[in-house]
Amino acid sequence: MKERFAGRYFCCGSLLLVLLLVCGGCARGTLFEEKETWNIGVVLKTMDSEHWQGIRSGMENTAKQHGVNLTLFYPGNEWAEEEQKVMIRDLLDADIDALIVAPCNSTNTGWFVDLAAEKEIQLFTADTRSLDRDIPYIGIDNLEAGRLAAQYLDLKLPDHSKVAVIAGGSKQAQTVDRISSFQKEIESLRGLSYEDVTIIKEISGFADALHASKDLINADVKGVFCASAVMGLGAAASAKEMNSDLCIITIDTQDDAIKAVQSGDIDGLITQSGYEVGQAAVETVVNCLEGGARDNVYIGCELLTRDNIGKYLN
Amino acid sequence: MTFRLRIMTAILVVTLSGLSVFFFFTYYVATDLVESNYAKSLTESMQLRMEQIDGDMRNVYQKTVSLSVQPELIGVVDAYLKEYGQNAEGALKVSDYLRSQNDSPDLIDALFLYLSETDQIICSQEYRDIIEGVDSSQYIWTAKEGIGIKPLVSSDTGGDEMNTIYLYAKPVYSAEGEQVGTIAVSISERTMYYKLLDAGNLSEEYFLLDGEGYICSARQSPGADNHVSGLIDIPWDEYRTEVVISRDNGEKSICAMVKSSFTGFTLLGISEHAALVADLKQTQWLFTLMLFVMIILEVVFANKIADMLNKPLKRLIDAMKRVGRGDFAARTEADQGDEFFQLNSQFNGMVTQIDELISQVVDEQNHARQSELRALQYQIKPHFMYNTLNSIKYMAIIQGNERVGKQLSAFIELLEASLNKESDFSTLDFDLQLVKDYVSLQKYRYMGCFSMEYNISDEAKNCYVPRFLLQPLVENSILHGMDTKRNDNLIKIKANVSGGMLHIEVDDNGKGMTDEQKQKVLHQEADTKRQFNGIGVFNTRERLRLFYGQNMSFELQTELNKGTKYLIQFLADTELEEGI
Repeated sequence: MKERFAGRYFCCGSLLLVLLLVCGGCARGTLFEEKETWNIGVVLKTMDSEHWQGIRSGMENTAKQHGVNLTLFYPGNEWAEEEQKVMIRDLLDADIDALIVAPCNSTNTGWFVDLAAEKEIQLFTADTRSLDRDIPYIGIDNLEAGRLAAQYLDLKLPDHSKVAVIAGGSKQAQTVDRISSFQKEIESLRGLSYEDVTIIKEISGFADALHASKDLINADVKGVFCASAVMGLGAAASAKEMNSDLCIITIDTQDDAIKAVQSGDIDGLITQSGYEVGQAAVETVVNCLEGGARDNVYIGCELLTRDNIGKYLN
Repeated sequence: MTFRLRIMTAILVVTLSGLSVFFFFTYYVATDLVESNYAKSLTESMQLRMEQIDGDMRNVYQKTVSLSVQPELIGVVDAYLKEYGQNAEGALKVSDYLRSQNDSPDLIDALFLYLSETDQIICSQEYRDIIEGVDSSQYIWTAKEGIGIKPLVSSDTGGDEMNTIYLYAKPVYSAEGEQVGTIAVSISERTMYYKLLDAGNLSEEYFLLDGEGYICSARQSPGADNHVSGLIDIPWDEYRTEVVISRDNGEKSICAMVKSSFTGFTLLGISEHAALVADLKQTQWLFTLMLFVMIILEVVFANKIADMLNKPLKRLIDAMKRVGRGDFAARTEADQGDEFFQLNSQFNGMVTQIDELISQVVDEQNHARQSELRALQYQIKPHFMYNTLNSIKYMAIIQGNERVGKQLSAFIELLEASLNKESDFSTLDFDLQLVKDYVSLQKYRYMGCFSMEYNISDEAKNCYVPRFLLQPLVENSILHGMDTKRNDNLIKIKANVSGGMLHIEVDDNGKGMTDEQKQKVLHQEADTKRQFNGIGVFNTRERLRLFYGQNMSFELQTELNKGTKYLIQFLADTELEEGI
């Protein structure tokens, strides 16, 4: 009987000891640990507009959600090709698994494609595709954007009205794509030849667009497709200043452009959410690093006007 | 150990164990929770600090890259080398230019331009605008093709104090594509520390480690070869937070490490564990105090509870002791419904039963003693009389009185028969002979005022009957039924066998009995002090009942002044199973 009681006391004592040790153990050891993760390098073109800030924000937030490291650089402006080259080279020398580039020069991407292949780093383009190499692209379909702009101007403008395009760098794929599809579409709709469409390239900012638009208004141009929201806002400012009924269609879903559409200063806005582009870019890269497909990812775009923008915002 | 003490001990052990476990568990869970929350908070805070460090480094990196490809810089360098002939004024112009490019003076410490042609470093800082004869082992960045995205941790490029700096450098090319020098942008370690690493309290400290684990920023400006392994003994190159115990003083610390994939730096945060759990220590003391208070209260309550539980048991024990001393009136009381009530009820019932059994045993013993005494008495009296009467009989015969001798002889036979204890049974014939002997004696006494009539079948004569079956009945008829004033008193004895049963009748025409006398004869035991006693009839009836049980009947019919009749029947048995 005594042995049985001794056994019980021993069991109870052991249980208590184990409990105390477990409790004691709770207060020691590793409290937090993060596993090794992917390192993704990003080189954008610039950070001078809400569109690019949106891309950066989308990339950084998505990287945090997926627990991947993101190292993001951008040159001072979208013409700084040399500056971007240094950054791309430095990132390819660093310990990264994938690189996303929005090239300042879409016609000269071969060098870093080869370098990335040599270092077995997966390469992607975002917002701006490569024109000389086949690199997976994440962004809107710029050909579709050009077509939407042409269709809208055709709808809004009387016959034989002059139309123009204000675009960025001619070495950048989205400029090339938008202009070519715009010209092609306007030709099919109105029978206008390529030469009948005024093209102003190498415009980067608000002021450039403002001055260019003034010239266009003076040249009796009735409709203009601006290849970025900042350019669209510049054109709208010149139209307002000159009291012109210039029909302006632009691109990029950013706050000031949306307000301009709501106020009627800009007639049409083709959606291109920088945040969505950034988000989709990181998601695509992570997916590829984890064995997914390495294809182009197109983000849908639509035309917003004063009539439907309320619905879109809701 | 008494039951009460056991209860108290059990209550104290269980309660105090539970309380101790609860308090310890609560304390450790709280500590764990505080540590976890703090670790999370520390890690998040360090992530933010690291992101800011990365942001600053990125800005400096981009600034360096931007400057390296800036055409204006090439123009300034060309002018210095060619127009100014590398004179002091030209150097000042370059220094001014570099200073003008520092658009973040709160972050960027200095800009340096190394010119390979002149082997000079021109600095944006006025007080040391030019360093001649550059030693490439001291200024590593000048001998390289620039520095990638991971900053170079180096000692300052000049001045009296050798402070630590973080530096990016990129080659500068002329319009013709020839490298003319290197541009470098630096951040002071002190600037970085006070901007992003100063915790603001002594219990928390941050260390910035380079890619090889050397401390490159801390509260105390780090010296050369100051490796983190001299500080803590954990893997520093991982993204983790853990509790470590110092090798030097054994004190616990919480260490968190956040690594940057961009710079390759690791931010190490060390927080004193003692400071973290200082408030909890107070709570621990409070718990201990509460535990002591609880112990005191527990002893009081346990005592009370043990008393309460022990009370019915004590009552039961007292009652058992009283019963043990022979007090069978002792009983216990308990509240209904509980186990003690059942125990007490069983005990009370058991004591009652024992009391009844003991009373019964005592009665039986009294009866047995009385019977024994009476038997002995019966035994002595006949023997005494038998011996005496034998002497008288022989005297009477010697003296020639034959009649007296015959009477005595009959009486002696009667006595002999009564003293014969060999068997409880005799034949009816033998029993009738005893009756006749008895009647012979009584006729002498009553001068022949009664007569006997026997009507006995032969079959009945051979039946075995209990000894002295008829004598007591005849005696009763003679002594109490006979009217001595009459001469026609008749006692008739009939016996026959019918249906396997022996039927016997003893009938007299005497005085008969009142109801009271009848009841006494049938049910009462003998009263030896009185003249009239029914012991013979009662004994006869009782013996028949004992021998035959349900297979007999004994009936007494009597009527005052008419006579008395005994009707007896029982199993007729001519084979004696038990010898006479």
